[in-house]
Amino acid sequence: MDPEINLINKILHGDRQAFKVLVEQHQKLVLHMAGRILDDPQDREDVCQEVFLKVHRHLPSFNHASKLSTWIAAIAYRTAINYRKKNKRARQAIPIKPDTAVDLSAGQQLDRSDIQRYLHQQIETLPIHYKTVLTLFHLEEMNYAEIVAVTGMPEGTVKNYLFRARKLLKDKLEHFFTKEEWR
Amino acid sequence: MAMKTPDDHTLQEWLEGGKAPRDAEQDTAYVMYRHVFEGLKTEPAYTLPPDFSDRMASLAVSATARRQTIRFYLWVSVVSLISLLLGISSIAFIDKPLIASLFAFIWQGRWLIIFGAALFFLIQAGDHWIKKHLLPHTYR
Repeated sequence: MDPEINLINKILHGDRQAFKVLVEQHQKLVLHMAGRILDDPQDREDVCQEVFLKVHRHLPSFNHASKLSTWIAAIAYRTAINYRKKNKRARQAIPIKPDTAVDLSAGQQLDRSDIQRYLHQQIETLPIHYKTVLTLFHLEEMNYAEIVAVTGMPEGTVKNYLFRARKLLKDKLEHFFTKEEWR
Repeated sequence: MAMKTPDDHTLQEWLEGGKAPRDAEQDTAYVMYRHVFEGLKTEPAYTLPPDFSDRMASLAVSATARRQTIRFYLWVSVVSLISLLLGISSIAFIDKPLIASLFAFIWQGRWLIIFGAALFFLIQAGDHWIKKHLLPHTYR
């Protein structure tokens, strides 16, 4: 039997340990989704908790039409978006100043970790939908159909957001490198 | 021969499909995109408490138990109400004056019943609000 179906059956029969395994398997996915949409760590944790409680409650209605991870990601996306709409605290986060956050002293060589740190800071400044599709595509390695299933956006929009988000990041990186050369 | 400068769409397609030509590294925009693609593959530094999955399993079990208890009491209430109505109807069929005096008794104490019920629901709602807003970690 498919291990995923086996795990679901165990959970449906009240196996606590099986649900713990499911949480461990998907907590990074849920945290990445929540993290891209919410700025406050406590809000992220609350949303992760809410997502897994929903997963547990609605698991009997999961019809295997999609992968379990796609179904969980869709719940995480909707829950985080709704949480953000409802909760003012999430919207009052202080944004990072894009060009000052990575502090490099003059003459210091840029290495891979500096670039990645800078890129992560820039990703956080992108619009939520850009961040979401970037995360699903690059980090969770979902295909376009799966991203459409998670977000409910048309495929053309997903492709467009992906292209624009990556171009924005490339432009910011180019600008960052140009500035560093003049230091 | 110098490479023709590819546009952003082409560069992204190259990196997405892993089909970049050998001399692509000479193009600055390509190198920038490569950094972007590499950066997007690295995990952000978000963290959850180490006991998160264990805590979730406990919460899910207690939430299920709570739902089952609510469902049980709901059924008990429905069955009790139906039994009461059937009982009253049966008595009314056999002994009309008894029912008339029973309703008269209830009517006399109607405000007590109304205010009693209102107070009960007010306490329940207050308890719910306090748990949700002031003690959020106990509210599951």
